[in-house]
Amino acid sequence: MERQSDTSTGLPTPITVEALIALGPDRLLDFVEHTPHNSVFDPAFSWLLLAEVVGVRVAFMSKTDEFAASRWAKVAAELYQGLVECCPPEEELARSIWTRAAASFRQQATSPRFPQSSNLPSDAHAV
Amino acid sequence: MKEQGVTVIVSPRLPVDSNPDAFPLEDGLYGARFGYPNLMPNQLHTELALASASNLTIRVLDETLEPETIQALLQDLKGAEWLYVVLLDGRMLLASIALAKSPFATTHTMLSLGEPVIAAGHLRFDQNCQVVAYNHMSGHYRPEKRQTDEVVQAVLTLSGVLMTG
Repeated sequence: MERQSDTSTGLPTPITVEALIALGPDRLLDFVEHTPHNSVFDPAFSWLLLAEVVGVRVAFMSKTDEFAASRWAKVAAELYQGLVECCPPEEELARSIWTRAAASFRQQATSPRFPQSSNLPSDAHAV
Repeated sequence: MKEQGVTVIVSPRLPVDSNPDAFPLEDGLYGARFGYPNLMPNQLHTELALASASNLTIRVLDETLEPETIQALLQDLKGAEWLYVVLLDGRMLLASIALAKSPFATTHTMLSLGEPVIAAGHLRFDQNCQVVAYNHMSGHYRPEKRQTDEVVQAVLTLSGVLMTG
């Protein structure tokens, strides 16, 4: 499939999970919260797949950079919350699991121990 | 989407369409018509590394197991929610959602090792070892709902697992 670029987002068209991950957590969160109405997604794309991939990234990053993991966790929380809100009533099992996933990632997003990769002096957290 | 002459509005956030890379099966087990490949193969290495680091425990449910073995397995599965996949060879693999070190970072590909499946989703057992709910929610595999229903019900029934609800 020939890929083009959407000039408004800078993303390739159709939009893939890989391209969204490459944005990094902050720009991805902005895209998730303000998805352009004219976005064209790759057939393999789904918001659930994106949520799962971001969730793996959170777990992987939490071993090496808890601050970065917390930024990805914020995206994961938003994605799972979106899935919950769009979940039909008959999908109680999925809604239950995604609700807990959103809460878990939300907690992780607000409780990083410290920004390991920051350029702050080492005593910047002292009170 | 049109269904029986009625326009159905479905949220774009749910995986309503089945896997675009699904491939036909001639003699699929349990009547499966399609195999579903992993939609995110370039992430598999990371996912398997995470599964290994997390000591992810995988249970296997298979109709060829002895009834005593299945009963012992059900004691392990009861009262909990599980991720499951059904491989092309008919084995159902399960991993606990709650017991994983990273409970919401476990993917179906960690069970299948990235191999194609004929069904995938979540499954809930009650305290009586009965399945009370299941679904076809897997972003990595996006299986069709109807095939998932048929496959899951066949695997459970032939293994002697009761379903309610």
